[in-house]
Amino acid sequence: MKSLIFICLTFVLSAVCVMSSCEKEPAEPVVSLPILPDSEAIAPWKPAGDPNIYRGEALYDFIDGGAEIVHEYGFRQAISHSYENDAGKGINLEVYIMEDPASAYGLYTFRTGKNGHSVEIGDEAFLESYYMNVWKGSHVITLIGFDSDAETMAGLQSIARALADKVDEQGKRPSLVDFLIETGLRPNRITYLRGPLALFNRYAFDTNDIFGVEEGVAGDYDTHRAFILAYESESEGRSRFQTAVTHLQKNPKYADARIEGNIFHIRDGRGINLNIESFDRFILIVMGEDPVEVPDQRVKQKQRILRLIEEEMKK
Amino acid sequence: MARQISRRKFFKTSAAIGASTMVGGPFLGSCSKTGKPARAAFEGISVIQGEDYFKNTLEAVGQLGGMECFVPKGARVAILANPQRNNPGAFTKPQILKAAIRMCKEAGAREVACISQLPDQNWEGCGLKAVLSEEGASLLFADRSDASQFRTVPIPDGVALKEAQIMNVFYDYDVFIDMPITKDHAGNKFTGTMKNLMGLNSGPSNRTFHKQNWRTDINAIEHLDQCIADLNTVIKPGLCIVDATEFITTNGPFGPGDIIKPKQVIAGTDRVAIDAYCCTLWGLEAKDIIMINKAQEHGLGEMDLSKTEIRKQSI
Repeated sequence: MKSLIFICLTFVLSAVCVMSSCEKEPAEPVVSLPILPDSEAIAPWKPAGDPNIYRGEALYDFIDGGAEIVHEYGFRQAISHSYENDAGKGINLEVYIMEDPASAYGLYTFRTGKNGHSVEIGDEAFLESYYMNVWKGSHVITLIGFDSDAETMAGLQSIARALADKVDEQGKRPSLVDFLIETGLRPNRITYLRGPLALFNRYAFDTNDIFGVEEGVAGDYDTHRAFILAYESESEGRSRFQTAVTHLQKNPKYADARIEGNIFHIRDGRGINLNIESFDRFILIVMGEDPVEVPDQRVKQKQRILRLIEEEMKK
Repeated sequence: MARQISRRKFFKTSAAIGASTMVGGPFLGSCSKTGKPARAAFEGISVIQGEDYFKNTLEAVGQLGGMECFVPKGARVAILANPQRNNPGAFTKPQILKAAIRMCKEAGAREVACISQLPDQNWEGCGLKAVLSEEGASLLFADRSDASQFRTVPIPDGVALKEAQIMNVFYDYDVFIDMPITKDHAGNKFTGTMKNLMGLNSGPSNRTFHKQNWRTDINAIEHLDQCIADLNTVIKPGLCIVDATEFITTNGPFGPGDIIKPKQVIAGTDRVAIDAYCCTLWGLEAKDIIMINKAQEHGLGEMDLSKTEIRKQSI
């Protein structure tokens, strides 16, 4: 009987401890703490303090001033925790649990830097000079060190691997990403878009949401950048194209606007040429300095998209 | 050159100053309660580049004529630094805060306090709390969950924001020094002196700046920037000291992200000019930052850097 009471008390106290470390928003149960790594799996690193959980608007308390991009991608909840080793080094952990693997992939691509290299953890992972991002299923795992020492970098990877191993889910890149031409695509310079804020961060076309984008992808190449924005229907894509053209023509940051059927040409104040085309249910934008290369790449990119659509329809 | 002011603008501005006086004087920096208006010996932008960020700060303010130009003897000084998160490149460096506090004390300040809504652990984690204790400055918090710790401040010139909710404690001080770190921001691409003032405004009010539902309002991207510019019409720092030493240029404002190291400390009183300068440090242009354009429209400063004297020195 005594042992039963002890077990019950332990359970209740554990529950209280977990709840006390959470932001209070009772709409959804807290389901994610089990993904935190076991101590044995991350030794010699160990947890420092309690984890925190953020849901809904509480994310603004955690990422004060920067939560909206996470919400745009489809945020469910976040966990933050810290780790330390006996040498006094520290690592910060953030886990973002998103609505679905595509949301998580999008946030992963948005957050990942451009100077590091891929590592084999989770569905995709990228290690930078002092931090790393991992995508696994609906999870984005970010680990931040405070230096670039070998010890810290090894710690980032061991904690990341332990976490990713606990996520019992795999993600697949959204099919729109496959539309990008692979040749010349810079490694890790793909951004999957789920709204205007992510698009605005890749290129500030206008101060208004002129494309009404809900799904898109951007890829950087040596000579140019391509955006593929997808819509529900051809008519919606066409309507968004016309709205965008109207705004861009009025925007003083651009010059040399001309339209040829479904293709709009314009040049920005830095001499970047933009080719924007509406076809099928897509808007394709190719931009770059070379006024010959840009339309050429637009044609090639459009051909690839149409070919993949055709292949898909044949299946 | 004299700035023309319309009759309508004159009455609105007069009303703003009247309203401000009633709530405790948000034009705190430009006309201190000790009766001595702050006036720099040099009214342009002071930029000091060097390895020692403490010295950079001393020299940057020294080039403006010294802290005594801004802090009268016996004044109480409030400082708004950014302790957002201890991620590298995301918070105001301790050495810079240390130098600012020391200069205030040497100028004869009766009290120097950092005011904040972010928790103690942020100050601790960023190494800023240790600086306060070393330099004899205090740290005062407003509890963001307690509405009674904020006062309603009307914004007569506000386009999107008609009233702010400013920390009560802010109005207990004679001089206000704005001390942001400049960095990337996923919402509006840039953060600096003007966006830092959101640190004085309540969380619920700030959340109205950050609209979550970007998909329903074509103007949503502008909204955040317009609100920041509006907020700045009723709070004018007496001095801005900006950390542009090492900061994130992606994944702002929280990080982790790509870091650049211009090793600069910037000081001045024209927020618009300072922000226009800072954004150039990572290849942005002021005309592309909506907030800076909106602030210029409000007449808060000069975004055309060719019209502002910039004194830059390397030490």
